[in-house]
Amino acid sequence: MTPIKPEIPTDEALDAMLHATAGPFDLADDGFSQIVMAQVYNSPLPSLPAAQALAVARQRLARQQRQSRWSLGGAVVGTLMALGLMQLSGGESLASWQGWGMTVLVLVGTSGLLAAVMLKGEWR
Amino acid sequence: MDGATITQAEAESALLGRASAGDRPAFGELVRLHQARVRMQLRRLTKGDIALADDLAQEAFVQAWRHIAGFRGSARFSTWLYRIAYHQFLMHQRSHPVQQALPDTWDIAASEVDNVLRLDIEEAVRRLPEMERIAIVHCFQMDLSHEEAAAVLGLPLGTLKSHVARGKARLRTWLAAWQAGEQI
Repeated sequence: MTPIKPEIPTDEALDAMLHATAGPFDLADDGFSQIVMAQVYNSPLPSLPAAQALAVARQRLARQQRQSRWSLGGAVVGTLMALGLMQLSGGESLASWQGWGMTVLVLVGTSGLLAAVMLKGEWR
Repeated sequence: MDGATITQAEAESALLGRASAGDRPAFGELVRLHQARVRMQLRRLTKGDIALADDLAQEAFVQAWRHIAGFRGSARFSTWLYRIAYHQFLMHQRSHPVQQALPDTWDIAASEVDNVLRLDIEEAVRRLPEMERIAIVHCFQMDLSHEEAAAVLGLPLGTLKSHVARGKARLRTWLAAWQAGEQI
């Protein structure tokens, strides 16, 4: 019999083979959690040194505030863009904002928001 | 009811908040949610030593409880747990130096390939050099992204990718030789 040249599996084939060996991730608990919790109930309550706890709290607060600012900014920009699109497509719903007035407002508003975001370093 | 259904992430976040405040039953729920994956991670790392893996997993969860107040939420909770579990594994390895894996230069003669790799690709993975094995375990057998695996192992992303690439290259060579052994 003629020897067959060995085939090196392709990267995708090897990846698929490796992924096929993943898991199983549904291991029965079998009392494991109970054993852990027995040790947890014998352990002291989790605590942090005051300075570290304060730092963690500040970080959480800063993160929440940053998310709020982004949400608010997103809503404002979205509204302005929608208004701008209405204006460009000849929308008539805002009779008091004729001509280029709305477009200028959109540009100024968006630029102002972007400038505020950049000055605060929010993109990091 | 569907409208009021909260996502798993939200439920976990609520449990985390309570556990951080010292609520042990909430932490118990987190243990139940994550025990299977952490135990599986350690079974892989210990090459199938179930008793050792479960001992290390228990210690990992106890350590997680002790330090949960310091969990900042910058990574997923599961990633944080895997990192603690991996740390437990490393500490055990240091205190119980066992037979080391085959050296990096390990080469299989074609005649041995059939025996060595007959079992399956899992056996081949177990025979990889340690860091290549650990990287492949996390990226493929634990289904983590490269970024998550790098965070768990405390490695730069590029280093992790190098380990994965080297491991895969080695596996590819072994598998090719194995196929040749079968088909000749």
